[in-house]
Amino acid sequence: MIELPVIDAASPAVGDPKQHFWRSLQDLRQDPHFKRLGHEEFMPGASDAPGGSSRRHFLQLMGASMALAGLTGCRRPVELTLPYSRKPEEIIPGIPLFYATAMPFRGVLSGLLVQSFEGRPTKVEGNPDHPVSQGASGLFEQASVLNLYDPDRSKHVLHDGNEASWGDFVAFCQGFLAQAATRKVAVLCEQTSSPTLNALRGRLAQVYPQLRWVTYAAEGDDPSRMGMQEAFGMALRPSYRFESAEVIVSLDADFLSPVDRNFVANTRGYAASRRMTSPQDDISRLYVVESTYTVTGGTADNRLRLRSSQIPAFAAALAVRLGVEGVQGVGAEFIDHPYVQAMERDLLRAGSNGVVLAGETQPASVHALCMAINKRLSSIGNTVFLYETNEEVKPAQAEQLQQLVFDMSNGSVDALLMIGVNPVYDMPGEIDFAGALQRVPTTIHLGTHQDETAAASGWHIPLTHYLEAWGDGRAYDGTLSVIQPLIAPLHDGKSEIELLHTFATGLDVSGYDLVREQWRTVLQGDFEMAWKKVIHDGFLPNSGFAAVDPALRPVSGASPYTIGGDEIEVVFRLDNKVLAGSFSNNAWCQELPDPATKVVWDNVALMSPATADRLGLEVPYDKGMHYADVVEIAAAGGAVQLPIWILPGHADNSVTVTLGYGRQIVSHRPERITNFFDTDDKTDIYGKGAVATGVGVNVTSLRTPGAMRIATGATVRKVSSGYLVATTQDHGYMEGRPFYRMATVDTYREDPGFAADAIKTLPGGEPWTDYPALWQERHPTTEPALKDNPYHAYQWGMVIDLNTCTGCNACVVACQSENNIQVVGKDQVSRGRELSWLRMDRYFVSEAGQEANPKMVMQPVMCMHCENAPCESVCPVAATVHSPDGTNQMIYNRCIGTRYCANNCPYKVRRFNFYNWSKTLPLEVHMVQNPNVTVRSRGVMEKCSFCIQRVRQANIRTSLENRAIQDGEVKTACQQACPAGAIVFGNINDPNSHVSKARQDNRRYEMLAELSTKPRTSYLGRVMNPNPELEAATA
Amino acid sequence: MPQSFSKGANSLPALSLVGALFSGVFLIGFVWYYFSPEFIDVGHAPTQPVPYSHRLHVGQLGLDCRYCHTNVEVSPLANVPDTQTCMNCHTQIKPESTKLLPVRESWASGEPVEWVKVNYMAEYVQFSHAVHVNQGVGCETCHGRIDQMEVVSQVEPLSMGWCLECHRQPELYLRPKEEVTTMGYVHPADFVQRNLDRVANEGITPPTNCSACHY
Repeated sequence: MIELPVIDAASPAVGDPKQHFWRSLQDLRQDPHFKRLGHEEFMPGASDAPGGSSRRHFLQLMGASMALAGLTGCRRPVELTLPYSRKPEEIIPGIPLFYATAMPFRGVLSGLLVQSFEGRPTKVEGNPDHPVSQGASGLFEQASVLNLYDPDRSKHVLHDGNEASWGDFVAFCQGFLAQAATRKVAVLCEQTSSPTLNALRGRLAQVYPQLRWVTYAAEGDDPSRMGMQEAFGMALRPSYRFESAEVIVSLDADFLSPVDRNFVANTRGYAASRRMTSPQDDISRLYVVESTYTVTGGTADNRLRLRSSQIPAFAAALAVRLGVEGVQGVGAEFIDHPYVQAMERDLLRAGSNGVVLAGETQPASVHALCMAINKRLSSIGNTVFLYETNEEVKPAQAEQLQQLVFDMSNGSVDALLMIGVNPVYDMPGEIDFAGALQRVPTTIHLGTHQDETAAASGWHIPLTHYLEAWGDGRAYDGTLSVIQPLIAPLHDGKSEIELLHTFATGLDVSGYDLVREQWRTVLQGDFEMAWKKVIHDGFLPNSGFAAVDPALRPVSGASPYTIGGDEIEVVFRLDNKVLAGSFSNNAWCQELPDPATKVVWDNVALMSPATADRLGLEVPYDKGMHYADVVEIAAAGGAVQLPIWILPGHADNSVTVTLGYGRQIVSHRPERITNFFDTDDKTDIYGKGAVATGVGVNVTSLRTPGAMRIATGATVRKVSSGYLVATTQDHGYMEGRPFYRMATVDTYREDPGFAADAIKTLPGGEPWTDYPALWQERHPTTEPALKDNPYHAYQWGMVIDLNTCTGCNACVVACQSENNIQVVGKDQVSRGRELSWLRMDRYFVSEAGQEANPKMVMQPVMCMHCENAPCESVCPVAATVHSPDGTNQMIYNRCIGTRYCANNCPYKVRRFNFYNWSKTLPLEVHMVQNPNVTVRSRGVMEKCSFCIQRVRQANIRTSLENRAIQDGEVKTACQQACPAGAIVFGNINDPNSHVSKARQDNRRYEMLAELSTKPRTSYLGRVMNPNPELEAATA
Repeated sequence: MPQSFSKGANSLPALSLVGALFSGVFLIGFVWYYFSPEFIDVGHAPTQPVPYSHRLHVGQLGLDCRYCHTNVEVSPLANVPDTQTCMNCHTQIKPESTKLLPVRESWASGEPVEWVKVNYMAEYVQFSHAVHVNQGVGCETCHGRIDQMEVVSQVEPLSMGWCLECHRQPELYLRPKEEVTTMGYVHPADFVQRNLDRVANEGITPPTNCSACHY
């Protein structure tokens, strides 16, 4: 027998011995259940039938399948070909078209380029020419296309719960207009930047002199805008230029999260400040002070966990230390904090290249204080730009809402229009909005779903998706765009401007005409030409806001919170996946693992291990499943019951909850009822009503109008235990080997090869780089493989820069959208059957004794396309093979589902279709599938293909045009979405390609290179820039 | 006691073994042939909503394939013509024919004519007409003598083995690009050598790897 050396899994004696990487608390304490998981490819019970398994059930299934097997497959499927009656000029069936448009997102627009197959939008990308998006996009842009095909969208106009028509509503508006002068009309409108909508607001005010307009956001006021008002007395919008920043101090500001309104530009700028091409490059330093672990906290060089309600005092201390005028005698508790001292020194050193910013949980006063600090550092005009938005100075939303609801209950509101909002669901618990709504004679709701507010309103009008209706608006920097629809409304929807116009005039005018009329005032010169150009480009160049540097008003720095040492605060945040509920009926978003917790299909109450201990709470772990305790959180007169989740690195005595769950959306689709032998009902995530219904708990009753973000003085009490929380944090566990490699700047300069040096040789001591790939004699960079093959010239490879990757999840959703990856539901995810090809591994990193303050790092992992692919050698039917262009491909029609390949994959990136997930999809959801990628059936393996469909299209395109594929012509979906530019893909046979150059980087390493799998995907090790003084002070 | 089985029964086990062998071979052969695309798919000629005759339009009137299948040179799909293409002529020619009723209905209503697909290809195969037509694979090579078909039927099995016959030896099938739509094209005597030259000069190298078509 041949003795093979075995790499001891238990002792990965490589990498920095001081750094311990762990994925979860059970990993940290080396739970025996957990250790067993590491040895298995699939979770315990992964092969069980959905909804529990039994021998009897298995026999029933088999018997029925055998009986039915003989009957199917006899008949040839009849497929119809439906040509156009009159073919639109520009459409060529089979070739997608791309249209520029824009997505409204929290009151600003994202510039997009949307792919359309024969009039069917399928994929969203950033508009490469747009000044803000520059071709990148976030997870919400990527997922928004599924919202269009949401099968639970509202389909009809409703009047008092009965189906009505748009004509009925128009007639109603005409009648209502008769006494317009005396009508007291109030409008509760979502945040918007649309010039057309603003013009209609003016028009409405002329028709209804007593009009009251309240802009409503579920999460509360934009504290940044209120802070600018406080600091400068006018409506300004700060835009940060992290690319020129040396020192960044974030006070609970999750500016790298896709929830942020300027996420794409922030991430791009931050990535630019972190990119290194040589050890001599300088990179920025990021300090983060925050209560929960966020994406931004994970990228921080120095991170301090602190209750959100203490951060105002921390900010005040920093302001005092930096000598901000007028700020005195505040923040005493933090004035000698080592972090404050370190930040002070660093910020003063950086001067105008320093920047301090506050997050959405922080009150306006902290935002004002941060601007005062930036002013003191002279960074305004360098790292911070203040855009003059010319918006009105806005009173606080809380006052307006309370007044409105008071008047509604008094009967002094005749009609209430709710435009794109859902106040019955998300209004703070203290306000009885639903009760007040009953006292208003005429209530009109325009919304995408028959949701909580629709049920309580007299009129409900379906709201169109942005890909269905004309509109306009401004990007974060003010750039004007027209929202161009790609498809006629799928249902009887109307846009905001169409509804408002009809209400103001009683006329039914199309949105196109309304936007066009408005833009006649915007565009100069030949209108037709300029209009066409705007529609074609997707934006109006040079229409951004002007940057100003106004004088500062005095700021006090006094904290609005006083919080005791043991007092528990509850922090309300927008959810990283569903926002405040606008994406909660989106299955991609529900199944997306949260960046920090990796929890799917639930909202949980996050707390630190110490707080959970103090409250006697735990999340027991059994056979790969997490059964969390359920607590009752009481604050502000309200109480909710939520499962807990213990998050290392969370601030003590702080509980983080997210909005957007516990929705009640009416679905008119019939429940799927099947025969006993059919499991479709159990695997159909769309089968039990709306996707969002029954997922998580609505936490809004804990909020008050004055405390929309933080509630202090909360009590947390355990009520039950054993709630199953599905999380992917341990899935694909790889036994603690050094997959993630990082070093400080100083270490990198001393040892530039730190990443590759972590493991150099095979167990026998032979250098692995000398090993040839199995499928060829020589490496393709020196000798092209298979010379007679048309593809040999291109050898595809990828490099992922961990220095710039923030773990924002944009790539995960982009992959899902591009590659027809199906959603499997909470139960199946908890069994480890999620199908996402690209997983975002999150590791906590701690030194011994520092487990309470771990670092958090993110690593995207997909198929490595090994040249010596271990999966290929074990497939009995050659269903996974190498292509001549060096990628490892999965051939679905050959796969017989042995799953040997997945068992042999050391990276655990292969996904198996335990059920036929596409079979149960509603018709609308089928429309989102990419026609260039096979929709997989039950029983086949799938995995990342390096977006081979895009490669093959480029092969065909260039063959027709008789030229070579240019570098950068083929982009994978993840690469195209990435706002950080962390993913580079290309031809490694071309020494001048970006990917070849990235592979020259001395931070390059390959995962498990010591196994000689020769992965085509390389990583560039992360370099951190922590403050050495601070490290010494806190050690 | 009389014996239950006659003496001849002694040969039954041997016979049944031989019989099993034969029937096994027969069964394999049966499935091999009768379950194959050659048997099942070739000759498939569904009834179309309009009895459109390629024999008339192509064979007798001499329409070029690309008059109707306009996108075949640029798109993966050789599109079925839109109703407008039919009506280009049929507003003038036989404008009242009952056979053309579905076409006129479609023209009036805007709804498509529901043509039935003849050459069915599984979803896991990605095929591009454009790349084949532009390299000199004739329409006839895969679709047969369309100009002689009253009702279009499938003439080739469209199985993977059939695809690979050509992908492995393109010189046996290629024709000059200008002859791609010709029906009844006769190769010149030295066509193999000419094609081999083309293959060498133009770099025509049809892929034979799995992921060229399956992804």
